[in-house]
Amino acid sequence: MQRDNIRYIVTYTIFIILFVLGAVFYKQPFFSVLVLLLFVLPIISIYITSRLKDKLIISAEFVQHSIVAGNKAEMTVSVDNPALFSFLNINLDYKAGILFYPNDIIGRLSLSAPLKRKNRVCFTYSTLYPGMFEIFIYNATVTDPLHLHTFMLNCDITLHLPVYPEKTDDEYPLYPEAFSDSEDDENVSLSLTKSMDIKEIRDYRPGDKLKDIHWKATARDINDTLLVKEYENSANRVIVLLPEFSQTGLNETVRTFYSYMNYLVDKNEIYKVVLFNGDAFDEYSVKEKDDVDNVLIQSYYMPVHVPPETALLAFKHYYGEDNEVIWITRNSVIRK
Amino acid sequence: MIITDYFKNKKEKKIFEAELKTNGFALESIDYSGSALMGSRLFLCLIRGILIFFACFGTVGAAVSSFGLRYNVPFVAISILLISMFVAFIYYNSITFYLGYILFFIGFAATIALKYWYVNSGFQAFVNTLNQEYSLYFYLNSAREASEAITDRYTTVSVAMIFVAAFLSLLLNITISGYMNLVETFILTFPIVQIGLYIERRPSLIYIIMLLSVYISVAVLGRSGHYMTPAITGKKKNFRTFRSEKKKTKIHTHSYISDGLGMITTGAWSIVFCIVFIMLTSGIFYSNTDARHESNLLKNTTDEYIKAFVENGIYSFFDRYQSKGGLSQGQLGGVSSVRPDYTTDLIVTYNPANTDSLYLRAYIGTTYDNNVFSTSPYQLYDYNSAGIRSDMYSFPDHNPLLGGPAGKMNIVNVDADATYDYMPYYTESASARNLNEDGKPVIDVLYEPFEFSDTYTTDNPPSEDYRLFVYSTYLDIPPYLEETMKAITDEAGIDKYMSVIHVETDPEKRQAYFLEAAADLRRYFYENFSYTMAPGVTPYRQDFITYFLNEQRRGYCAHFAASSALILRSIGVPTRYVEGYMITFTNVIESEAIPGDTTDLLGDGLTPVFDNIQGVKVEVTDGSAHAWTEIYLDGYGWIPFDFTPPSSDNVILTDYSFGSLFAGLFMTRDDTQQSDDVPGDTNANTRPVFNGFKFSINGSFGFILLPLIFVLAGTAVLLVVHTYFPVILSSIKISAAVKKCDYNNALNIRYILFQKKVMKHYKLSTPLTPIEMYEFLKERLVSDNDTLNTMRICGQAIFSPQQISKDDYDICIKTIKQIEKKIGSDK
Repeated sequence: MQRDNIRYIVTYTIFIILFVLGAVFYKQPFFSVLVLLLFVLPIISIYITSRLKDKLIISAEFVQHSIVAGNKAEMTVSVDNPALFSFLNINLDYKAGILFYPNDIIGRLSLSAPLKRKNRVCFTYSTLYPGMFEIFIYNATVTDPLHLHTFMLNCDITLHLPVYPEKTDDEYPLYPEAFSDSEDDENVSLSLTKSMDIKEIRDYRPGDKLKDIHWKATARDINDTLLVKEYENSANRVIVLLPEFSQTGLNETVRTFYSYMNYLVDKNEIYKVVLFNGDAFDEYSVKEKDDVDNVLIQSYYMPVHVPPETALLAFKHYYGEDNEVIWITRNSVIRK
Repeated sequence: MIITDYFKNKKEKKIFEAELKTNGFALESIDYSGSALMGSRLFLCLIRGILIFFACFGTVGAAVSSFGLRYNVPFVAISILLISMFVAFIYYNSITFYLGYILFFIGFAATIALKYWYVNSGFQAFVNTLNQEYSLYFYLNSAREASEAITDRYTTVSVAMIFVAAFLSLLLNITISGYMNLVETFILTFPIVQIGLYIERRPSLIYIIMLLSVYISVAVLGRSGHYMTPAITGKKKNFRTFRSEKKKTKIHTHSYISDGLGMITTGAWSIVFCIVFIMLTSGIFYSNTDARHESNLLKNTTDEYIKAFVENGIYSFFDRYQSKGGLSQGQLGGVSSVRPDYTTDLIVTYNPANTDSLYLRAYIGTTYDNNVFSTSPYQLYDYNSAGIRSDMYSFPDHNPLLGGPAGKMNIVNVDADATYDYMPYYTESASARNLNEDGKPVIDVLYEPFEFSDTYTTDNPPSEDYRLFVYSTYLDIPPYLEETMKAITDEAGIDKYMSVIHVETDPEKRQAYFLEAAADLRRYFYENFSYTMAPGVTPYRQDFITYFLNEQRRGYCAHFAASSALILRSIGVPTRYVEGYMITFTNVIESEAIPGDTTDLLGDGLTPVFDNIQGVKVEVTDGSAHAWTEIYLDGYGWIPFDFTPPSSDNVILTDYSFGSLFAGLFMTRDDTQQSDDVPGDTNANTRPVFNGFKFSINGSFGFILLPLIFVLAGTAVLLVVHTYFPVILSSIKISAAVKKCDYNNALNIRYILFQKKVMKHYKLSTPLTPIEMYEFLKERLVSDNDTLNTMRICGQAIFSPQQISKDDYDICIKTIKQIEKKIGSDK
């Protein structure tokens, strides 16, 4: 029983008392009929609600699977009532928020469920920041028509909708060294993942990159065989991206992080992403576009905080000096 | 509204932007997506119109039907329905809001201008009926009555009902459409219904059902909040959003404001519930709790105010007028009811010689004309030396018992009309009028007690001259009453005495005929008329006697005395109209006994009823004022004869506890009648005696049968319509499409019917496309090429713009029918 119910019960009781007094003092049969009616009605009202409330089916879903920040997110809440009785007082309590941000909105949806029908309500949200948009319907109640008793329904629905950052056309001067296409300089590396030193010159194999063709050697070859350069491959040397999510400039950090990941994938780079989760950190490999989205979504679940010193030390110890660690914070990408 | 909306929108926009910046997201809109009917403004207004109609028609219908007034039910119902719909649609949008009110008031004014007299007369008819019924119920002295310019009550009451309902509908529109508030709706409607209920006049149950349905619907819908007019697309929202900015945790509440389907189902369930409930409790509703005689502080106070209001209108609250009973001196017709205040008029001390009622005669009415039974011009208005009118003194006309044993009687005039002296039958002599120690006139009377009998003989018959005088004076009736008298004597069966009375000369036989005729007439009155102290006033310019005998058929002593006097005169029996006081034996028993010798007040030769007291001292109140008839018996003289039926209001209540109020459910009162028939004496012990309750289902069951049949029939019709109407409608649409060669549409409709059948049979919740249907049927029922082909064509008909051919259509129809047959036999 809730506070609202008590208010209606009091009002109802006053009505009963008035009619009883009317019946006693004025001996009017109609008052007697009304008294009986007032006794019978709540019983029927509460009984029918209690019997049929479990037939209600509450469901919710986002219309989209994901959206880009700045677009609208649509959520549909459905209440299906297969019974032959309309429920007029259904309340759904929910919390809505973006996981990155501490402020949640608490809401209550009050609607009815007519008999034999599915009632759908569509929420349209405007989004501004990227993150995991979460809606949690934590409480569902139905009140009898006379508002005398409130019943709880089983309802525990959590919905997530990833909101991707907007795509930017930023040019990232982010390679630590300028790349050159000169074949004379065998130390030039075209890839952050590859060593600058030439290991050997061999015959061309299908799949080799065009830029690795050693044109001079090929011209010199008496057999006219296409020759390519093979560089020293340092297996332990990887690019590690380390996004630094903090409350300040979080939106920009996520945007930069996502853009940079896509940028690297566009450049056919294979890299890792490390996400700190408290004292621990998780590592994710990224080879293609889907991996980028997955990593971003994983990052949405991470707490927004500055990694503790212990975690940083552990990170350095694990990855050593052989890796290219690139820190991403707000609008900057820094190689350390 | 436009301005407030502008500011409201601006504020909402600010809140929206602030939320977006703080939280990274904000709710832009919330809308309902489902059946268009649920959020249709037209539908919502329609439902609210129906609720208003139920409330209006239920109220005015209950008020009018409880008083038995007839009116044109279909005309009034349809008119009120149209008006209710009109006012409900006032809230459709802002244009209808302003325009609606203007049109309403124009219509209102036009009605008053064109049909004023109908409305006025109808209203007066209701008020006059109400006043009469209230006067009857409360035994009021008088009731106000206004003239009805148009006397066709059937029409005027109908018009007045529509007029009142129109005004009521406007108010109810605010309480129902605007706020869906039960208390306000109740306050507007219930007092009007109470007008009849308060005086135990029950309206037809249909109106009660309508009212209760509205109360329940309004209570439920008001609390749900889903009754408001939905949004006009693109301008407002279907949801009402509240942001609790004041709280730390900001809660946003979104309430869906309109639910047409919920409203209509609530209304339907309310009606069904009310019908069942009222049928079951009709026994209680129609039970007789005799609230009229209930006495407690609250009810008495309420009754007093109501009585004063009915008698004298609103001014009664400022200047209340109390009427007294007593003699009317032959003035008949101007009184709606008698309301004695039971103050003492006379104090009579005597020793009763028998248990018959004692009649103290004062006024003698000789000639009737124009609602007055005036005293005879023959009577000499001279006074003897004691100051007493000689026509009243010692029964100068005749005392048949003169010379017999006499008794003494002391009569103190406390508050009775001092113009008259009050003499018992048969006064021998009376002392001079003196004043007692309280300054009240007192006389001592010597009288020879009269006792009712079947025959009357005397050694002292009246003279022939006197007899001739009587027959020349006391047979007159006004010419305009002759027709009425003829009809009544015919109806009462006493016209047969006329011929024998005219030819019979033997006094004994004539006496016998007179007494037989009188007894027959009294029996006729007992069986066909009823006694009441509040019969209602005789309408303007109508004759008192004619109105009483032909229409009213109920009245108090003056009605019966005057009528019987004239009726008997019409068949040749000399009679007189007499007023005075009547002391019943019950009064005697309840009076003060005077100890002493029984023979002090009653002389030798008479046997007192009480042999151990001197006599009794009876305080005679104005409630004992009475009118009766005197019949002249040939060879004897005048005898009193009372034609007034016993009061039917003396219902003895024993057990009327709170629980017994609900006894009418399956029990009825068990009343038995007790009756002692005493000739001439109207104070027979005839009254119903309450013996408790007995089990009976007649009270409730009697009302259940017809409504139950109606409800069952209605439900059956609804079920049939619900089941077959879609099929019939679809068939019509298919035929129309085929005629237009639109086979795609026709097959589409046919497929939908088929699909519904499949979904119902196999309990599917989601519809299937044709190909899905084929896959589904393939697993369970049939998997031939015809079915596959049919489903393909159906798919084409539904989704493709390319028209299918007639042959394909026919094949599909045929295959679908075959599949439906198989489904029917598939368990």
